[in-house]
Amino acid sequence: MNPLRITKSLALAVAAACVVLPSAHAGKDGLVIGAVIPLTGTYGSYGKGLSTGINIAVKEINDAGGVLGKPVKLLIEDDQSDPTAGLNAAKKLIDVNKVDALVGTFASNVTLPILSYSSKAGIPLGTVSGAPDISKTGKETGLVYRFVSTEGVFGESYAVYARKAGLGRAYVLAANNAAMLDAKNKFSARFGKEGGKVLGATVFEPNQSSYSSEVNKALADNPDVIMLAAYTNDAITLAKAIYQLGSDVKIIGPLYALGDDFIKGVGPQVAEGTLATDAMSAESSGAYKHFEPAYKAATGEEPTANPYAVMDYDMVITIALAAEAAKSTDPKVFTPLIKKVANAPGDRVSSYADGLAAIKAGKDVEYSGASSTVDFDDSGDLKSMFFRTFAIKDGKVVAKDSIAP
Amino acid sequence: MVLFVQALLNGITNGAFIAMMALGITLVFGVARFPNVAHGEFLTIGAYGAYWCAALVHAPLAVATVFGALLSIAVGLLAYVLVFRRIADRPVTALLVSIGLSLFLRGLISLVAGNGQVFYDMPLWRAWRVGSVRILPLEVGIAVASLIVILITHLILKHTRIGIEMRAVSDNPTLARTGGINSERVNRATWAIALGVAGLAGTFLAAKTAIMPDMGWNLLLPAFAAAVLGGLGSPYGAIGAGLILGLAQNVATLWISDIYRTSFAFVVLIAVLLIKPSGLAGKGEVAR
Amino acid sequence: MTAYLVSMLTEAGIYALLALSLNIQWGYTGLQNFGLVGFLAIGAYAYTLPVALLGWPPIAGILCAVVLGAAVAYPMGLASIRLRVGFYLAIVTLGLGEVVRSVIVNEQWLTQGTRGIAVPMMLPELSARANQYFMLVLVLCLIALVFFLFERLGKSPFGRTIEAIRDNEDAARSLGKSVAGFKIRVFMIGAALAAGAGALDAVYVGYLVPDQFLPIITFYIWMAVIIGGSGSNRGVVTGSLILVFFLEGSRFLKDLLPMGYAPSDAQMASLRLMAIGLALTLVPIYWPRGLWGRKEF
Repeated sequence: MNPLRITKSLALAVAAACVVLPSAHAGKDGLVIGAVIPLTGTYGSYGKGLSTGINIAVKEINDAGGVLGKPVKLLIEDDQSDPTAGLNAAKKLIDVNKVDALVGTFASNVTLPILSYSSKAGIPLGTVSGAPDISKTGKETGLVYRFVSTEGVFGESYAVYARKAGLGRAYVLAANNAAMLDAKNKFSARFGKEGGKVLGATVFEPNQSSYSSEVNKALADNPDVIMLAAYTNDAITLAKAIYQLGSDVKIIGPLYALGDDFIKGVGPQVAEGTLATDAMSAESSGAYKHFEPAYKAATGEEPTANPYAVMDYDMVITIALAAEAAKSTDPKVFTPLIKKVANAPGDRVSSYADGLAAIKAGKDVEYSGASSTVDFDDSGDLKSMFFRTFAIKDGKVVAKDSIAP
Repeated sequence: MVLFVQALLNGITNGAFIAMMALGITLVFGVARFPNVAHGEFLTIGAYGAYWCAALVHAPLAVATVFGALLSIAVGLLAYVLVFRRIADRPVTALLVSIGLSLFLRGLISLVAGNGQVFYDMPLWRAWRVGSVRILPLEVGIAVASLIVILITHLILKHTRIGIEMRAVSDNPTLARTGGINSERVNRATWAIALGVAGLAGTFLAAKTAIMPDMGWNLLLPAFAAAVLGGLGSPYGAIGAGLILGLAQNVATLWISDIYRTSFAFVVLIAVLLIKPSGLAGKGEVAR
Repeated sequence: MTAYLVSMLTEAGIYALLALSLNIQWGYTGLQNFGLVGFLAIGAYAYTLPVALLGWPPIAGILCAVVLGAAVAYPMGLASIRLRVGFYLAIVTLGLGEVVRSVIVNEQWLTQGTRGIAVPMMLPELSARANQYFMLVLVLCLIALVFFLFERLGKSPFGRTIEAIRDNEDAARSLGKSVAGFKIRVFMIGAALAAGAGALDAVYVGYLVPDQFLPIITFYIWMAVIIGGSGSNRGVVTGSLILVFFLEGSRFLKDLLPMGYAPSDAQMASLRLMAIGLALTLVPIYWPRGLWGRKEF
């Protein structure tokens, strides 16, 4: 076991890899899209849906003839719900695989380091992260497109809905990450403005086994509603604790955490009466209508269980339309057109095929997506968002109204 | 005031868990002379064992609990025979190896069971209210069960032959061997008891919280703190320190943020160690 | 492709600096430091907060990181004297890593907590690509410098003393050496280096969030040191290269294996953890010297 020999063979292996690997990326032929999504780790449960949404989009594009006549190539990497792994994944996609755009980044703490790198490389990024700091880079570089409203806007929607439901005393339980903290702050401000009283807030470390101490603090002053800014798994643990410890305090939060998986996790008894809001998934839109059956066939679930999957679908379609309209797969050329194909003015289209036809006919398009109307402001954030309100009754999610916070 | 009483009550259950884990760590240290970093994983294995038994075979609670503990003992003894016994004379190596084993087991558990959280199908009872204080019947049940387990361990250590032998080996292995004690038997018994207690702790924890691959590891640091605080090698020190630490953690989070729960355990530990390096009940391995 | 390799080499280089830091503490002196990631985090934040928020020049930031790392190590060093049984130190340092991370996450007013901070490039006048190359060159120069210094230190009377402390502390003390003083000094040197590596890491990643500092990183470095060989500077640097090759190489596995044979990403993540665990379990038992190690244990 001569150490020198071992080191030499390792060095040889690395050198060999460097020769073999460059051939692992596509010849620069057609649009290449890279996706960095959480397939494992804390947010791994959303991963399968995200991957499905992206794949459905690519299939739709390629079935309609691809971009500029050539099929779109898709590469998916796992960020392991971890910033370092996510950054390395993005680096591989950008530097080795030479992708023209990055899509799908999920958690804010992963998106922010990736954004720092991708914007320096001039590659556009489509994300569903909720942290407010992302807008800053968007405004400076024009390279970020956020297909979800910031978590803060979600927070305001809960405040409006809770007050509408006649609830006046609230306590906030927020997971410790940038997006959820934004939700907590905006909720508290808005709830107060709408005449309610916020009794207090506790920030908790996500993904723990037990939260009895946090819940006890929340229930101390007898609130009538608890705002949960968390993802599904923590929502389940918290809701169970609240149910057992509390009187009949209501829970309000995002539908992506309080939806069907949540009901399955806590049982209909605990879930009864829970309130939630969700960004108007443009469920009446044409795009959603043809997306939903494809998604259901692939995963066996409704897209409402994973609205991020729907957003990722829109991301890919929008980018493809931009490249087609720019007549180029060079990010420098097509990135400015992302906003153009998404916003008015233009012919309203809700599928890639329709958009392709309109562009080929020389017209401007306005893509209206399955997750929202996909209209961006100068920071790459969605311009306006309508929210649909929901309540859980008899073990099922029931849609109520819509509000614009 | 209400919050304080609430915190004390939660602290008892919390303390009981930490005490059980710390007990296992300190028992193994007594005979093997190294702190087993993989101990948390045996708690996790106990939890998953009980869950699989209940979810797949629909066994009743008691059977699932026993199964979980037995699975933990089985895997742990396998680890002892295959790995730790070979390095019995190299405690420093054993620490490193136990870290490796901890990572390996966690990876294996996530490979087999997936990364997400699963939940035991327990009926949910609402809390009893005594004034404004809320007491969860489930927590009471678990606290009682944990204290029974600790009590049984104490009785084993104090009154059975194997218990006396365990304490002898822990105090002075050479002398014990001269006195005719079969150290291999004692080792296996000690590991089995430590693993069983950890596995049971896992099944109890599974009943009241989410089951996930990291659950044991998350409890490990406070358990280590308690074991060291109580003096490595002293079972009663570990139990006492565990209970105290559990209570203290819960009371402290009334004033400091909940995120500092584990850090609190460590600050206490460091403070005590700087004053009395052998721990509260420790056996005088002091440095000059 | 080259940019990716440059990134990976830089990352390996930062790990190598951490491994060298651990080597002087554990390989030469026998101090079981399991709190490496804590010093990494301290260095990263000590650099970023003044540089990003107060506009200090990078050099000042690095100095700040190094000084703070050594300062935090001082009480640790004191504790390590009192805790003569090595395991106490292992457990206490393990806790330290957790305490540091909790403070970072919780004290938002100071560290921006989970919101994170953008870390400016060291040479903003130059392009991003140029900065990348500069980073690599900087890291490589530092490795060479530290390597050279530690090799000299190792062969000097200081080095012989700390190795004596590792092998038989009582004997060293009976010869009149102030064991306490040496241990503290080694701790501080190692911590200062780790904190410096943390500062470089912050610039390398470009955006600082607390999740970059999970305990697993400490275990990665231990693995690099064990495989490379404790006590050998050459060994631990090699170990770091192996570490990064392994961590990132698994990503390319699915590009090279035909469809259907490649494990899913979830399985890949579990297998990676199991492989690291297996390495840390089997290597110390059957191959305690690693590649170039001089320490028997």
